Amino acid sequence: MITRNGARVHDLVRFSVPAADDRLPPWVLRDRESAWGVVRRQSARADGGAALGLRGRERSERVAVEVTTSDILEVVAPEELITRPLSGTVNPGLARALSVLSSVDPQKLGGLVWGPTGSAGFELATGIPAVRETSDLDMILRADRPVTREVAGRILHFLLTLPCRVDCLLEIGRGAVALAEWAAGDGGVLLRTPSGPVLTKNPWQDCAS
Amino acid sequence: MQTFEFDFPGDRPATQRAHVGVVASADLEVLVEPSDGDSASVRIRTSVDGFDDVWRNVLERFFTRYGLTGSIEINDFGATPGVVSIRLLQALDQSTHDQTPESRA
Repeated sequence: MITRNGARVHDLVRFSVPAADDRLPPWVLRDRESAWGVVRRQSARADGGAALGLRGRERSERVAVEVTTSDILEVVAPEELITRPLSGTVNPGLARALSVLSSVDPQKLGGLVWGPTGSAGFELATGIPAVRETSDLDMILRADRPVTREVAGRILHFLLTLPCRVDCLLEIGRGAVALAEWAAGDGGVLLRTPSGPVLTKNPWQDCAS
Repeated sequence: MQTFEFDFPGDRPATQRAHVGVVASADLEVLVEPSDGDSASVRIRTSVDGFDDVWRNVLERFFTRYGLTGSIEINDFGATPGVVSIRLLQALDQSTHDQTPESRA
């Protein structure tokens, strides 16, 4: 799912604050003139703008805001962040995990493109501290083509060797499933789609319909 | 981090243990264990504070409709009500069927 300006779910979007200033709570992490949000999965907008999720320092500080194309200053995809180091971090395990992933043999990740999301992706894109001591590493794998449960299991096994807990989503075009859930069993899995979560046994089959 | 507990009456006992969902952002895990009695004893631990009423509504709707009874533990990491409902249905399916999931349609 892509907005007209090319932003996809998980992309980090820098937008001009004056346009949305009266809608932003005071805790939103921002620069003087702009703030950053993450494109939400429900972000289908006919006018090419984006529905963004904004964060503050606390886990409970989250707010959704809609911005129009003309407010958008910059769009950064998670996979563009993989060579950036996390500097001065409070979470050395997470920083080391990112460092390992940045130079990993692509086969360890099933040959799939990866990118950091969540607090790590936010901090790498914006330079604004967001990672906490207790943060997991959130990441996505671009899985436009089917990934077998066996391959998912091998990727999961590798991620478990990293010095930080990793929370990985398989992004499969029109939705996403948790790598751990896909790898775990042979029953139904939860597919997150722009219109809400659904249960499916074959996420890729559903995507092709 | 917030913890709360609810009890709901019901008539459809869990017959086996179930564990669904994942420990991940915007997700949750649900653990079900059979127990004696005619109620569901639900204990929720959530990483996001301040949604007591939302939890009560989502759970009340589910347990009123399906009547599942047993000991139910929910560990939440900021899931939306839609995700919570689907995980509860998975847990119901696993805990009230004695077949393995793949043997059913």
